[in-house]
Amino acid sequence: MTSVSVRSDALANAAARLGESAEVLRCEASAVASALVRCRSPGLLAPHRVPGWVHLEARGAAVVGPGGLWGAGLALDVLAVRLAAAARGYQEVERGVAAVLRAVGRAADVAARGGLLTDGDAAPVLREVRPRWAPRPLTGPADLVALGAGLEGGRVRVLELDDGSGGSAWVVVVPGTQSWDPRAGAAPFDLTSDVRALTGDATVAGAGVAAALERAKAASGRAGADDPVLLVGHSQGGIHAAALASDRAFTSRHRVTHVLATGAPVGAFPLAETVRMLSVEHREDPVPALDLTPSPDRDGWVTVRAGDGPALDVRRHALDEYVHTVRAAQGAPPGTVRGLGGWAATAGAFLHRPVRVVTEVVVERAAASLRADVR
Amino acid sequence: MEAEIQELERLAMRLHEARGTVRARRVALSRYALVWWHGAAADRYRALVDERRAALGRLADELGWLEESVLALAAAARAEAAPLRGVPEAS
Repeated sequence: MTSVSVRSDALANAAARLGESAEVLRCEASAVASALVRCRSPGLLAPHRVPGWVHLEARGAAVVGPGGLWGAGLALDVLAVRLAAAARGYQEVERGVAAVLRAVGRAADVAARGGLLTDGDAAPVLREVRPRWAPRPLTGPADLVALGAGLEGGRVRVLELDDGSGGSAWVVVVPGTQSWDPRAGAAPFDLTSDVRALTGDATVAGAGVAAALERAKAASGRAGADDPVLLVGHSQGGIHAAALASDRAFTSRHRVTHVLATGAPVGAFPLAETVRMLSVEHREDPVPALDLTPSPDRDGWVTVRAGDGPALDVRRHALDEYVHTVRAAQGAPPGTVRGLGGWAATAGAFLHRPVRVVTEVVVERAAASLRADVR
Repeated sequence: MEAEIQELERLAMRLHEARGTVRARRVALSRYALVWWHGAAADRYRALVDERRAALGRLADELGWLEESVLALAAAARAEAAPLRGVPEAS
């Protein structure tokens, strides 16, 4: 796994220094060119020395021009521009989450004392809404990833599927980050949840996802303790999915068998070996590497990396990009994408099964004193 | 003629200074290698820095050769001019 350890300000400073070097070289080019011009005097040399001077003058012009000082300055400018672009890319990500991940738990605790990045005594409030997703069988991992579309506004989607043996299987779809404000607001899928989920703390968002599943199970009347559960999420949704799958309190009530995370830093979560993880990462997307933790190399954990970089491109973090990648991967000849077919084969309880019920709830953060589990 | 020879010597001095600047910027580039930065983008950046350092090394060599050549030309011109001193110019 690519390790990313970046301070965008350091990159930007280096880019500025490169730009200064480029300017210095251009000044030297100008000074040498002026000195060269002043030597062009027809009476300077004896006739037999003129050819030698002409040769030197040509070499002097070359050392000033595009192949010399001026060109070297331009090349450093190009390098500076590239580095500055990389710095801006990282800055965009850091603004969201990276800056607060470096000192993980301690940083979050310090921030919490200032009222930032903390859920305080807030609790999740669930509000059932009309589903935006029309029921149809899921044909592969790409359909699971695509379930993440349309979850704006703190919406969590729960699918109850016929598992083929009379029981139910459950797919829980967790949305990505929807607010980058470090001060916790009404929408729980925000920066506070990113930090708290990555530091291993319980979050209102995580609790809301758990509550959404429990509510759907209770409403079904068919739910059993052994029903398989698949958690799928993009970005922050992937973090929550991995966090819940490694949370004993959650797994003691729900049998999580599969997790599908896209564009999410999930390598640090201690998933049980019975949980089959599929993590999809774009090499140009810096977000999956924000935890600075390589994905485990073990049975049951499949990491699919797509793209060949080299440039950082935060647009590759978009859900649509991941849907496209996974669809292409599952359409490739068998064995082309290592581990993907095997993961899908174990997910038979969720794929190609009739959808019984789709439940969607909006999870909101509210003070505990105002808590009402379901409105 | 003396003024023209001095211009050649000034050019040589300018080339000497340019060579020093290029060498200094080449050394400075090493400090911008950002060794703590990892990943594909970082690898590509460092490859480009290595290319630039090599190019600046070649440029410094060229500037040094040019400086020596211009100095040699100036010295030759000064040597040829010396016997002419004291000879009255034709009117």
